[in-house]
Amino acid sequence: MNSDVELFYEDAKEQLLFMENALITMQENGVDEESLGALFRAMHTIKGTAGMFGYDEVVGFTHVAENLLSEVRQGNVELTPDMIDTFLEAKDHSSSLIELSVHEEDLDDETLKTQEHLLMVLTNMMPGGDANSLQKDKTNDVAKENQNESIEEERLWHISFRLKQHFYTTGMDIINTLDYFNLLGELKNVLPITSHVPLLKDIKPTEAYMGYEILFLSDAPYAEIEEVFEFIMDAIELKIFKADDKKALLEHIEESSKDEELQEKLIKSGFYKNEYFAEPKKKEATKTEKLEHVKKVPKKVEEKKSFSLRVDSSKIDQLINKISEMVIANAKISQRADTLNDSDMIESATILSDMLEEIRSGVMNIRMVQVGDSFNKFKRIVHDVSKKVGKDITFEIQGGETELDKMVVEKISDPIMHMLRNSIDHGIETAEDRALSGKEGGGKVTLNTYPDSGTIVIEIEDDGKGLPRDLILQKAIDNGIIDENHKLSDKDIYNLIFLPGLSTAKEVSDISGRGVGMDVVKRNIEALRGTVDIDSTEGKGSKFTIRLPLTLAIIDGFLVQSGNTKYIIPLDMIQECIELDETYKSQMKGNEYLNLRDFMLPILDIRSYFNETESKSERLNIVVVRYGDYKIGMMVDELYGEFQTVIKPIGSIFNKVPGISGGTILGSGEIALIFDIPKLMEHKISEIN
Amino acid sequence: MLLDQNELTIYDVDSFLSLLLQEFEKDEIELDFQNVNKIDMSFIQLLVSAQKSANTENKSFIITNVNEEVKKLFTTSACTFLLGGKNEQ
Repeated sequence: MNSDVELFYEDAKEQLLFMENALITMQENGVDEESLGALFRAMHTIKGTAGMFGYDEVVGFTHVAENLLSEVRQGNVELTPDMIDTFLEAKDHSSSLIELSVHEEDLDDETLKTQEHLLMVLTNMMPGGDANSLQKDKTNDVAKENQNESIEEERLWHISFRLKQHFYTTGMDIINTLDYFNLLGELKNVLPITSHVPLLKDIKPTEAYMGYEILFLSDAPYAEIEEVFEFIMDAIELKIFKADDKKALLEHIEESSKDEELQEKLIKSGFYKNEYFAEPKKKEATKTEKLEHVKKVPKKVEEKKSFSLRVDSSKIDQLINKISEMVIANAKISQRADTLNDSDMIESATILSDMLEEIRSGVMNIRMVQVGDSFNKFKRIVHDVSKKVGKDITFEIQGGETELDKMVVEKISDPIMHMLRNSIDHGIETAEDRALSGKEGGGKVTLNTYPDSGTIVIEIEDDGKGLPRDLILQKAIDNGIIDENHKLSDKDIYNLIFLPGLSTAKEVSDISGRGVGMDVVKRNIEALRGTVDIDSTEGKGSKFTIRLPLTLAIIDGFLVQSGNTKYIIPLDMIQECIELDETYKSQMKGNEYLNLRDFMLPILDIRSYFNETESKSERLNIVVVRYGDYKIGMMVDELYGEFQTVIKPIGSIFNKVPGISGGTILGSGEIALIFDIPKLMEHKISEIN
Repeated sequence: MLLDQNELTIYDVDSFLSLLLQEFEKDEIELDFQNVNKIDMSFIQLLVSAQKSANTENKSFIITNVNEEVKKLFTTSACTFLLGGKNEQ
């Protein structure tokens, strides 16, 4: 795929998503102007951009769908739930057409069959529609449908463009663009401007010299015609004005280069009659805005440039990597400045580190996206799956505005999808069962996202029958995973479902229940340095809580020392630091608990946990950390303070060391280990139990 | 000259120009399109240049055996004058 096609592909996928969101919204809340508009625009954009690339299949199909939509918008056809379903199918079909087109594959039989079926259904939905009208010539179709709306003269546009020298580097073929106009209206006259094409001895064949003057009959508004040139805007000089706008025309001729002999050619090719130019200005531009259009074009190009841009995410990763290196380098400078006690240098290093911090958060911000945009696709999945299993389910997405690293959002998508399917298929009961257990109406599934102390929490909650505790237990015992005389809490038992090969679904459906899955879900989440937790009450429902770190590359850390080793604690998780003085020590009486303002705080002694040698420090400190519902105190020797931590992976020999998630390099060149707080907590809690 | 490429596009214009320049040593230039199935604007532009050059040098320039597919591209780009059709520039 070349880069332009890739761009198209990306854009098309996005538009398809818009379509789907609009359709699902209307499915749920009834038809509204805004969603209808969004749906229409997305369909139109796909048609338009596909046309630019000459993907006739896509254009042909979306054109029919768009026609129907435009009837709906005009109020000639009512958008029924059935029709929404058809549009959803049409959206899926467009998606497969796009797939095939960009991969330059032919339509297979199945796709052709779907296409035929959908075209028939869509056409039948048209006012007075019957499938035969499909046979009509596409051009006529479009041209005719609006024929009587206004008289020809007022619908005639003059389009003029000259290819800029670098045009061919855009990879677009202007012939496709010209061809595309046939779908939007009727090309009355097309005049190639070849005056600038040099002789063979002077030509540089990879540079563009051609231009076009076009008379175009269409009801399309200015913006829609301009949109045809969207992808090549900065590679052409474009003018669009109404053909009856004499002032604009004269100005256009005036501005054109002398060798083009534009006026003569336009007359000769039948664009305008000779008399038209001779006559005194009879038809002054009636609307002042017409002229503005002509001038607006080049300006608009400039505006669009600063609008938004698509960047390969690997470029941002590289940038983050480089910044990470700079953070380390700067830490060295700071350290050196401290050693030399050079106040100027210290100041400079501080300024530098502040700026680095700004750049870092700026770059990280680029990667952040609102989860709602991506999570909206789950609506469709819930809709489809609940239909398939015949359950009435309301699905709610909360906290869609929460921001998360784009890569994390993409990677977490599959696990969430899996859990949603599980909730619908196994969690929510059938209507009869719900009635039996006294629950009102259909089931409810909620996807809730919110930030919480440096992490992002995603909750998937349903009000179904909850996890079958005893069944899970029995199965785990049968499989020899746990002993019959276990002492597991309910939570531990629920967590067993994350072990490989422990599906409790009595029947395996094609949606879920094959017993592969939850372990993969857990592994995927852990690969993102996240955790997943289950809460469930039989008969009431279940809640899966996924907790993810905000970022993957750099964290704000807190540097501490225990024994001979330096450690980093993620700053966001730290609640407070306490010096363990004699009062506290006497309170503890050798127990690993601390009375913190009447709260029993479990203490983890890092020195003994990691088998550190005796401390050289005379003091002891407690760092209080919180993760999810838990709070523990880490007993360390020295506190050094905040440190921007670039997470570096540590070698595989450390894989088996629980409680360490990575390493970092300090300014002095020393290595500090990063605590894996969830793991350390897990250890402490199991120790208590 | 028989063009032996299936597609003649921006990727081929440089090499095609050298072929054309050689061909222009003759008085009668004939381009046989029987193997050509796709052309793009950069190629059409080169043909325009060739036709212009032939006119100034008083040479004949004809394109033959254009198939329907390619003819459609000439029509869409309104450059049928290259095929000896009307709307000559």
